[in-house]
Amino acid sequence: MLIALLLGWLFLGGHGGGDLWFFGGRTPHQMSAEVAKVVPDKELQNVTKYNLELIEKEYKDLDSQRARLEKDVLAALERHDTTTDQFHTFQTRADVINANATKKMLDVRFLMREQLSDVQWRSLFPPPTAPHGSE
Amino acid sequence: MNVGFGSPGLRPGLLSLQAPLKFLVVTLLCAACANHRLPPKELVEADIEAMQEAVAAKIPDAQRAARLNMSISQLRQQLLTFQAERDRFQFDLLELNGRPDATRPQLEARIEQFDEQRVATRARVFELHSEMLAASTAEEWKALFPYERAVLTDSEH
Repeated sequence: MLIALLLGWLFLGGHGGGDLWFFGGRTPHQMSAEVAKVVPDKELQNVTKYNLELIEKEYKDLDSQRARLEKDVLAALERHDTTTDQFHTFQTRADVINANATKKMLDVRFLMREQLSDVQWRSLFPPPTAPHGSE
Repeated sequence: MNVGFGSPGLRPGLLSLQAPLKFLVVTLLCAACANHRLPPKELVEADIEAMQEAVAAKIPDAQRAARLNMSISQLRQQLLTFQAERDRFQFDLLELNGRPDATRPQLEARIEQFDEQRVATRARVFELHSEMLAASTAEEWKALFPYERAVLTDSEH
């Protein structure tokens, strides 16, 4: 699969990089293991895992929309007769996807925040140690 | 890709070519791997350089080649600046997200700030693309597009 990182970022911002920014570079499996360690209450643990699954599902949906968009944009870029208007159409399409994804992600984020203690939150989402991508 | 080394169907006369061929393919594969390991900034630089070399090789008209190279240089600048903005944004967002007291308006404001930069860069990238189309024929663009695709997809052309 073509991983159009820059193009994805240009179109979908934080949702275009193909990874789960919300998980801080961790996989859903790693996050789930982290929840099991940090949240002792079984019921809350299940609720948290469910919310993380919602985020993961949202990203999977987003990924397929992103893949379709990238395919269409690359096909348009390849053609010599693509008009500016056609690019505007892609931009509008991307902006709608992006706005919806941001809203959904923030909805789940703040729902989870209400359910977890400060200590649990800090453990699950530690601050980054260095700017992402700086190697 | 099956290159058929040592396959029973290989003609004896070609056997002596096997070692150099293997060396060539291994070298190319290593080069490809090395390119994939390049940090994002260097990868963009390498892809931009490859695109400019393609212009020199495929565009016979000096004036149009110069116009193309100018657009490509500006594309380079746009993308490198964007990469730096993107890295800052990712860091800020993770930092903000990790704070239990972060409010929704704070997160939304940072996302909106990055979106404004992103939309401006995206518009400029498409302008530069249009400028490159205007400076090339359909046939020439067919030869140049794989290089632009590589630049925009962080991949090899």
